[in-house]
Amino acid sequence: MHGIPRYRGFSGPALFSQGFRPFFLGAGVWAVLAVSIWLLIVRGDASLPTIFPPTRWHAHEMLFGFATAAMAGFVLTAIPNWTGRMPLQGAPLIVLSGVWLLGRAAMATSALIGGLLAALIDLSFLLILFSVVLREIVAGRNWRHFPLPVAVAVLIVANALTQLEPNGLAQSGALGERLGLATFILLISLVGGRIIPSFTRNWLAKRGSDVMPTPLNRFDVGTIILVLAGLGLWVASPDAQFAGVALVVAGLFSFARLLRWRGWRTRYEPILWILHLGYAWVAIGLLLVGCAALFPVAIPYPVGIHAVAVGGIGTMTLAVMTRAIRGHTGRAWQLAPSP
Amino acid sequence: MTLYLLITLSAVSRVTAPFMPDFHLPLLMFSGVIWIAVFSLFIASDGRALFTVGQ
Repeated sequence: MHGIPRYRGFSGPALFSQGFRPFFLGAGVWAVLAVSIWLLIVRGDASLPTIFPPTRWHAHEMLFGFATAAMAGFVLTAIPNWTGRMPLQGAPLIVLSGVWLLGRAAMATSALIGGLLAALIDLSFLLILFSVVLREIVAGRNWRHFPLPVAVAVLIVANALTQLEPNGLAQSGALGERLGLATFILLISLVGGRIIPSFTRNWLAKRGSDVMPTPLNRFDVGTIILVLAGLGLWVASPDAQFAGVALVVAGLFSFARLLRWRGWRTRYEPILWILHLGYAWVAIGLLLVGCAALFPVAIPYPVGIHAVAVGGIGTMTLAVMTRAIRGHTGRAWQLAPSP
Repeated sequence: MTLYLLITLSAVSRVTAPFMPDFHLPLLMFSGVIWIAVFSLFIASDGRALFTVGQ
């Protein structure tokens, strides 16, 4: 079901009139701050009063700080379009974005305020987001997008797993990171598979092109199942040969899926080709993570992880945020003239 | 356009860093600095629109 979005008048600050505004701002600012702090830590010039080991803090903040904020902004803006229901705005949006911000502060100071309190504050954001997304999807009877609250629920579990280890409750930090990363890869596969061919088709149609992206069909469904299976095996058993083979197969099918979207025809429109490139990074990342399991000496483990994280999540996040901001604030989203 | 080229450069340098042990740390730093530049530029170019009412 596609609803017609309704917007009630909002007289407060524009920043809290739509979900993407505070969260895309937060994602952008945190991308700068968290990586700046990380580089200083790597150089030995800084340290944080956190119970997380530095590498784990970096991974946690890129997944559950930066990427989660970008996802929240996208989801809160897209849901009113899907359901026709009122968007979250004003005081509830201020509270939600404030809880996200508190989570960043709590994670950076967990050695001072206590690991369990920090975990509770940080997890509160995803718990509230989950309840909001679930309420909107169910109230709008928008069952097509039911995987979204499921994905947020999985992120809650993943985040909780990362929190258990530094609190001395379980050796589950790496498992939580893999589960979180896998969830974002799957979300990009699902959402990217909807928006990339759709935006490409609209752009090509306006230019009278006779070649269009292949419409969604069983190949796409099959590829998503392969990605889900490969990631599931990798999360459970990252060093296993069968997980490596499954990820390589998923990566190859993801490449084939990308080719069906005719991305090279958008080469004159940066805001479109960057979406195709972001999805290409996901396919490359799946291949590299799979190869790292199969050939651990030749392919270091961080290679595939950063192909997916910096390449896939970073590129796709930037592409979606720039496009959405321009689209929703009345600014031109085309960055280049037609050829 | 600049943002998109820079984020690609950041990703390529971060992914290739582990393959070059002699340049691992410089490449990691380079990737990180480019990443910081990307999102600083993003805030500078699109951030103001988040505070103003759209058309």
